[in-house]
Amino acid sequence: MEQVEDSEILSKFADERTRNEAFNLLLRKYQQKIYWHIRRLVIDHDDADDIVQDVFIKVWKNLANFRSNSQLYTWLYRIATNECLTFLNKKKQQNNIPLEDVAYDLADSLAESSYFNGNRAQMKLQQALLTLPEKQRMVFNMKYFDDLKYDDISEILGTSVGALKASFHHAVKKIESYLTSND
Amino acid sequence: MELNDKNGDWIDEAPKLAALRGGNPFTVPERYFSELEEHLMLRSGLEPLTVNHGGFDTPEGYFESLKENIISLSTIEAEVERSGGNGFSVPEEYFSSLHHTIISQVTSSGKTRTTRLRRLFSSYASYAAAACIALVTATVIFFNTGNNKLESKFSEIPEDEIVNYLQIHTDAGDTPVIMDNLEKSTAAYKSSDLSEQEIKQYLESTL
Repeated sequence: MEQVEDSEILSKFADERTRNEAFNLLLRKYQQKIYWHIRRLVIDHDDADDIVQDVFIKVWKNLANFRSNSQLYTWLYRIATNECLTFLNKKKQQNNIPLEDVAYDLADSLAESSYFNGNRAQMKLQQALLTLPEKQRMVFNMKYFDDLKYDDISEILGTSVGALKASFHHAVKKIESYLTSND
Repeated sequence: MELNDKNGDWIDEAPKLAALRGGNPFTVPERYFSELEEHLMLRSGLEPLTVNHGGFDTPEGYFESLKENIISLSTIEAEVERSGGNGFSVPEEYFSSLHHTIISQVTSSGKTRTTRLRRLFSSYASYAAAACIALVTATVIFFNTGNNKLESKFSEIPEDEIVNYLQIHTDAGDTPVIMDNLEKSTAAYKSSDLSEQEIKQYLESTL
């Protein structure tokens, strides 16, 4: 299926008569990418489902105000990333636990999840990722799984390209060390 | 989104990690993404209904005063908690005996009510009976008193005057009536030697 251009989506959305059609097109193009970005961060499918819906409702409400000085997909990623951070912080506050312990919580849900059918190595990788600080995990995910450019990740997270590169390389070393030591 | 093949130098540094690249161990429920699209379209359609908090409104200045009210309430709550309750107290072992007190009151008031009901009924009947007796007595007395008065008045009038009255105001037609009334007075007849016929003739000659 041929992907529609972001510019077409935006122009259709600007017209009230074609707004629903534009939103439909946007969902078809981006919903899975955004979903997986969220899912890798929060692990649990139901949590990811809640967040992805909230993200796209926010998109619906604010797309008319979107300025084309950034790309549409980086704007979507930024909304999704912020929603994930909000969710994880709320989880920390509700359970009154430090953020690193939230990672243990997520690791438990990973082990119990019925929507994880990875092999042992993939399970270990996910466990290794959960040992990383939140933002570093985000950088790693967007680079390793989504293969985004550093410029795009910089736009999403508001961090310089240099810092992102350093963060990613440190993450790679930690994970490789984890995978090697836990064989 | 372009695939970024540059900056891949980490692959040599992390071969195990590189080997796992491209795999996705996470899964989703069947038909999840198609249903997600439908669900999001539905929710976006409902979004205009949520504008202005769905039509709900608050009093003017509500949120400005809300914070202060909450702080005041929480201060009061803290003070109440610190003082160990609502400030009121009860006698010692009050609640342990309360149950028995209530039960005994309920039981005794039930019996009293039954007795009172019976008395009320019997007092009405006795009042009615007394009223009837009084009425009958009064009636009898009234009528007896009336008759006695009449008789006592007549007894004061001299006999000569009665005779004169009868001579002036009666005629032959009154004789049978007088005779009938005289029969009732048996004492007078008994002491007299005159027969009825003789008395009748007397009355006819004098009236």
